[in-house]
Amino acid sequence: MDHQSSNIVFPDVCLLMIFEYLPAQDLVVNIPLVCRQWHRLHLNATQVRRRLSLVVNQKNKSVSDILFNDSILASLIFDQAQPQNANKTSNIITDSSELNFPDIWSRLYLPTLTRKQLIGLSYQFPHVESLEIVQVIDHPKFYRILRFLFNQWKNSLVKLSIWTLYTSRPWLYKLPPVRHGLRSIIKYINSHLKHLRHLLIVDKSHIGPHIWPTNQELTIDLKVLKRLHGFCFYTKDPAYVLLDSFLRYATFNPDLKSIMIGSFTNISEQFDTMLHFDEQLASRISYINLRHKSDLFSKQASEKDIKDWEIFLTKYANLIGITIDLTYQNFMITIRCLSQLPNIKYCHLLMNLDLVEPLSTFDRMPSSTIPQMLKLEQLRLTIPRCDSHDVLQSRHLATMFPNLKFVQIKFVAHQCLECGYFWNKNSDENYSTEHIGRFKQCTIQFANQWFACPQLKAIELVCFGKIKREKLLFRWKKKRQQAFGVEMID
Amino acid sequence: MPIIKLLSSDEEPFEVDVDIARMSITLRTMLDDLGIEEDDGEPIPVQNVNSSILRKVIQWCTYHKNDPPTPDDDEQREKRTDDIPSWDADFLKVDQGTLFEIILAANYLDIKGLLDVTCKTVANMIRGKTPEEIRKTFNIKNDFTPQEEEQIRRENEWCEEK
Repeated sequence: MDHQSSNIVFPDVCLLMIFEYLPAQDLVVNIPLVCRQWHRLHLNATQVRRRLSLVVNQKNKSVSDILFNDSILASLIFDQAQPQNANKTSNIITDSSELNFPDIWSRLYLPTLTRKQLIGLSYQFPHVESLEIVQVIDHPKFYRILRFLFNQWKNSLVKLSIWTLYTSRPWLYKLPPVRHGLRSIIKYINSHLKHLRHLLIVDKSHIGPHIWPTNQELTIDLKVLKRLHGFCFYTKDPAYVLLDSFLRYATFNPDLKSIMIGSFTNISEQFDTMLHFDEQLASRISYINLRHKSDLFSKQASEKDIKDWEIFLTKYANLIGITIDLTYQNFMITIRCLSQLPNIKYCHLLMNLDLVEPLSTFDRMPSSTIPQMLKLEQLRLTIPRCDSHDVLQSRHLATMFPNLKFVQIKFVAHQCLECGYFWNKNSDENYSTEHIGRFKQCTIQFANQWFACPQLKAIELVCFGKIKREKLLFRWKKKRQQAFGVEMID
Repeated sequence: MPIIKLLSSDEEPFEVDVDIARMSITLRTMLDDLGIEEDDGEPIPVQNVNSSILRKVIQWCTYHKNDPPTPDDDEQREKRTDDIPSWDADFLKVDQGTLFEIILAANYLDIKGLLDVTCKTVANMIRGKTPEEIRKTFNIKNDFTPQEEEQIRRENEWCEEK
């Protein structure tokens, strides 16, 4: 039998099994047009899908890269909220034990969102339990669209993630936009999504005024915390607008195992409030974003700072992720302090390397005194200015980070005398192939030493430009140190 | 190691370790229900699988006999298709007809690991392709009338990439 020339007719049961492995985009766009059988079966395949990721206002699929950094953090945190014997309904969260890039299987790209699209979506996917909405640019109708979708799936939604992303940032050096609509969406979630157990909101804008009243009367009501198991909130608003809701609702919900506060705790009073959280509530906070304006991590730390840190260590020992702005603070002291938090898996440090000692300072110390972050898996460093790849090298990297799997280093301005390289975000210069080659060499120097960390799978080095909005990106994998390429943002 | 005999649909006998045969849930149920622990002289008929496919299935099971049990499917987890082991990828470099018959056999014999890897292989042949390219790849006849095709296109306009 010549199979290649025969007309293939799959049994329905096999075709349905194959369709299970197809990305939603293929399943919805191409499969129904193949033949009558495939058209008939594609609807069976979509109607059993419980998980959907909608990328709205985006034709270009490069959004994956933008999402990656935040999604690995979210999956790390939400994994902790998983009950030991999770049933199928709640076990729909990406496993972060490996470096998973965003889920393509459930993703649909929607260049626009119209009423027709919304009706099509809810017909083809009637039982969505896990919904991720990635909104790439602002859309005035967006919140009405969200309400429509939530209404369709309000009886099935268990996990909801809302991301608002920007591929270009026209407001980078202005105030970010205010999105009052998000507050009304939160109200809707509070009152309508009764089965919701995991909620993640990442919107790098304000949902309240740029300057919140200092009397802290204006807060965000999060009644939904009464029934959640995992919660992540990350906007440009100060975290204190949430604290009241934590005290009122989260305290009395023992099922809420993981709270991730991505909004800044940038006011000392706010840090003080968190230090006074009930221990039981504090122990369930798994991520925090500290922009603390004290000398907490500096050589000038006051007695109060030291005492505060001791309280923090006692109450927040369960922290899994932390972001710290290290401007005017000391990198070495920070690493030493963070090594006292035994469960940290994710750490993002925003630092000014002009003010810190190089990591090689540790090389002069006896091994027994080297701080270790034993569980750290993901390390992100954002560095406004770096003068050499040597600054982040130490022969103790493997001792300090024995379980590190992924490192990302972002430079805004970077020069390396040894590699003959200079990059400045303010420069309008066009970088030559030779220049880019030198940066590539420099990234190899970075990567080589960091791969001493036994578990490290990938290191990503990025240089950002401002005027031309250029980005040089090199990702290196262990063993075959092969660059994935140089990427330019549109 | 106890051995049993399997008989393909074209009546070719195969001697197989019981442990390898038990990787098939269908055969395992049959062996348990009939109380067969080793060869009792009477071959077990595998009616829906011919000898060339049964040989491939036994080859796959023999290679994977020490694999840990395949975890239960979480149907809502991302189904990746980029994780096919290289041995399996080479094993499945066969003509399409054979590949589809292996899928049918894996389904009939209920061998989850083999079914997964074959479905992934076919899914990889489909993903990213236009309807016309898919038809060409699998030699599928377009049985829509032009009016039907136009109607489906209109129905699916909502998700088409512009």
